[in-house]
Amino acid sequence: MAQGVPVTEINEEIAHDVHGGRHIVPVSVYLKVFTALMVLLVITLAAAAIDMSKPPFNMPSLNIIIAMTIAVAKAVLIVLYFMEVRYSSRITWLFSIAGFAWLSIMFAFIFSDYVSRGWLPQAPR
Amino acid sequence: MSSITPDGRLWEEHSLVDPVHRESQAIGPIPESQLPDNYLTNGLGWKSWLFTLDHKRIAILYMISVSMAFMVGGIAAALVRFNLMTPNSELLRPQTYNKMFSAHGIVMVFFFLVPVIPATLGNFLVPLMIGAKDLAFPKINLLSWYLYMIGLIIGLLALSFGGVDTGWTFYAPLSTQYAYGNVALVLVGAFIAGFSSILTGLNFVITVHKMRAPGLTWFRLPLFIWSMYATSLIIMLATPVLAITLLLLLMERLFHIGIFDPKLGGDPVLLQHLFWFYSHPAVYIMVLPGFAVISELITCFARKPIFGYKFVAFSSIAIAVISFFVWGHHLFVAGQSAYAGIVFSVLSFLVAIPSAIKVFNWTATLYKGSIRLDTPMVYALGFIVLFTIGGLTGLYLASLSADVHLSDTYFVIAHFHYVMVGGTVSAYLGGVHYWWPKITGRMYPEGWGRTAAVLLNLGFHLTFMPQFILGVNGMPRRYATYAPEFQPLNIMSTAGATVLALGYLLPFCYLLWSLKYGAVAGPNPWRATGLEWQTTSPPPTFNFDKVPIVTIGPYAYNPEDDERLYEEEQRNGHHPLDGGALVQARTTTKEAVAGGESVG
Amino acid sequence: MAPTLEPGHIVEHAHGADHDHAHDHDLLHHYFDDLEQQREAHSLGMWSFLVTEVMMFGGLFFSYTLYRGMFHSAWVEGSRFLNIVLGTANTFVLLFSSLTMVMAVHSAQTRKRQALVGWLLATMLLGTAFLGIKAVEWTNDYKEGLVPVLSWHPEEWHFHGEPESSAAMSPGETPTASHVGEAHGQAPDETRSGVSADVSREMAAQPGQGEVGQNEAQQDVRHAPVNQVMLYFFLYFCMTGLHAIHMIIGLGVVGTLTWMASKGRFTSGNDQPVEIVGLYWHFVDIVWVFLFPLLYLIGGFHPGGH
Repeated sequence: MAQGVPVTEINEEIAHDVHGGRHIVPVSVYLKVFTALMVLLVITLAAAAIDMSKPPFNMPSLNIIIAMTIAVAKAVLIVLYFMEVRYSSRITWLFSIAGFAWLSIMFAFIFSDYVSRGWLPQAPR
Repeated sequence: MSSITPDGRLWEEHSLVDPVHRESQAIGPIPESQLPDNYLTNGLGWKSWLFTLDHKRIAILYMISVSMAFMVGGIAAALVRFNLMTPNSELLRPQTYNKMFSAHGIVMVFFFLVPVIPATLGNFLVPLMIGAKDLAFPKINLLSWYLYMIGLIIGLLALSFGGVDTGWTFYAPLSTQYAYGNVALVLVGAFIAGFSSILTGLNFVITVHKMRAPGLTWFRLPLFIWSMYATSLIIMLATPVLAITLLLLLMERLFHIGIFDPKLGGDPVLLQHLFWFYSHPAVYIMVLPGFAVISELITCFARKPIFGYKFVAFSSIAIAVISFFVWGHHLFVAGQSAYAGIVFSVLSFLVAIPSAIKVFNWTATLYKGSIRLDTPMVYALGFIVLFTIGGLTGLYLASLSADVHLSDTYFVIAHFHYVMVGGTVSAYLGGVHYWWPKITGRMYPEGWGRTAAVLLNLGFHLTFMPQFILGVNGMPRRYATYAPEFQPLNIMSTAGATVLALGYLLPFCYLLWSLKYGAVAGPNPWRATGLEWQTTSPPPTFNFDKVPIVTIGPYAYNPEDDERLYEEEQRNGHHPLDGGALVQARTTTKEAVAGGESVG
Repeated sequence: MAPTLEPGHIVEHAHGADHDHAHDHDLLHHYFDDLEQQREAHSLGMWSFLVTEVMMFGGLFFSYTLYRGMFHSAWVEGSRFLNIVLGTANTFVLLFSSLTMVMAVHSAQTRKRQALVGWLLATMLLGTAFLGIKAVEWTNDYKEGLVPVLSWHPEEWHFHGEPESSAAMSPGETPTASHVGEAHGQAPDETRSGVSADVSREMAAQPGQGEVGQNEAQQDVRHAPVNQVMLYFFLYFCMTGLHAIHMIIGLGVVGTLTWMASKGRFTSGNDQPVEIVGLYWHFVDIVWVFLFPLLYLIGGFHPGGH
């Protein structure tokens, strides 16, 4: 964009930094991320092997919480480093978050219905 | 005009664009001498149309196919309406009646209202208005038309042979177990058409982000672009959910796993949640492009900059966002929790705020404007009335307690027809008239245009105003028969529908007529601002001969200047700014109509 | 989305563009001003597409989550039929393929044609391996009667995991052929074993208590009604099936890339197609990262499987 789209001055600078400079991520970063992913995979399996609903934990939903936290961590690693969002412009950041953010709206609002269905005392049938 | 309205200095300049030569021979393989005049003459065979990558030609393809869909949906509506003239009509058997209103709903929603403005006017104008040569992904643009056509053909075949009687909402378990006909095929058709819509939306988002002309900052964008951008965001975030929902429904219809069947453990309300997560935002997919058009028409024919540019711009984005938080108001009586109902009810009221901002700002723009009642303006003013009625009646439906009474009555029908038909279709027709000279290079007969616009508005009110009363009195929707006391209002409604049909048929006729016999329009017959008017009519294939550089914001109109110039125009017979050519085009149209002669 | 040459493109010598390669103009579509604009538009295009993909998978994930909350015991039971070893292997294969994909991108950026082709081939190999393993799993599911509609035979199920399972299975609780008929909806019968729709509603209405109830249900997984287990398997096949379709599309695209890469198309400055396809590939990987714990690890670590 020769004349450019001056959305803001800052945006221009970032865009230039990324694409003008052609950021190339060193291989070592990729290898580190992959190692981290492998470690997380092992932790996932290990955490699943423990039944958190039993003592000493006594938290039935802890298993799924841990599993999902690890999955999110994996996804964030992939998005930031493999998909290079870490080195991308703000608009890419925004787009990479948008889908998940909107999905959380869907989850939150539909569940608000299912969760609250039992709150109102039912009239006897 | 403080910071709200951008650039008081707009008025100092009459030209929006500084044409700047770039230091290049902007030439590819085609020598300049052989470059065709405009996009219409650049290739003439059917192949040049079916394999075109030109956004303007794709817009025309869409315009033709969308009009076909409108015809089909309209015929179904006419049959439904005539059947309702008497309480126990024998025009259609009840089963056929069900299929007719379903066909009307499915065709109109999925194949007409969703694509109508974005895929036709949007496709044509988005690159022109931002000074780009094309959309960011021309091939994907063409692909989206093909997907639309495949979806449309599958849908129409399924509706013609066998039909469906589920209504356009496909609620389970009716659609999955009890419905007759080709539910599965129609689902496939709507599914494919959904992808066409997604591709269009995606294309617009990227185009607006990345392809604006030099100097065209976000707050110099026409409001058309802002609304189209907001529409595209909704399309991208909502339509995929429809796709997966229809897919699940299809599986359920074919295999009956039980995902929406309470007998097998599923929850039919889940379908409604997923469906309306798309379909409520989808009504804003339908009406936001209408807002887009109206903002352009009002400013041009009031000869004034828009009142509160940033408010109007951000209200589009606000509508896009809030539209995702309100779908639960479709489920008030569906077994949704009462608490969720309260939340959704309150949130539904919120969406009235940005909508009202738009209406107030349009009317404020009219204030002290130099108003010209050309055909597009008649449509635009009609739109404001119709949309206001449609919007305000929406508040009754958004309020939890009132909705329990009004749900599934003709009140709902009247409400959403006021918004969707009164709103979107009026805006579409207004837009088509406004940009017709740009699209075809011809003027339509102004007298016929105004007649059709007035007829449409009268017919519309006569058709749907009685339905509000019918609904409040308790006439339920979707039945082939009704209690005899409802007959007078139903007859009024059917009579209105006849006038309305005339209002739709007239433009078809005289617009087609104008293709051959209309006066030749200059590049800017309305003396409008906006980049699309800075190029020739019809535009060249790559839109602009020189890359436009934008130095000021949109709507650089000045009503006082305009009055003075108008008087001069009356005195001298031509407008002082255009050397006479444009006015000549306009006056010859009127003469041509009056004398029944053809020009050009 | 790979840039290809089109006839009639116009080359603009946009000022300020500092790409000085002779071939740059061949890569530039006529409707873009310069390569940077084109590059950003294409990249953002793929990201937008991925946003729509997230929303599409989102509908399935929501259905899954809702019914998991409602029918936790059925989810546990269904999950125990899946083979965790194969699932883990597939997770590894897919994560590894993401690594080979970024290596391919890296090779394109550093203009190493041999390496690029090699890494792309490796990615394809791993993608194929994933689908192969998936096919093995599905075949096993088919043989064991776990595929709704096509092959649904609850009466032949072999329960894995707990050693006392066969003892705990009393005739009354074992799914029988008659249940199968109901599950298909051919003989709806309110008196069948299992939770009625109303009960399941209430379970959904009280997730807090549901959690505890599910915990209790875990003690005796055989009580999950067959139709609820069928719902689990239906969603399992929908989710893994949709994911597999994305894998197949991805393999096709990467295959095309490999062929083009072998002709040197991406190692002379135009590495973007590799990068964009990479984005898609990683996204499909991310979907699996979520699918694996959600589908396989519900009932704890149970290496038995098929």
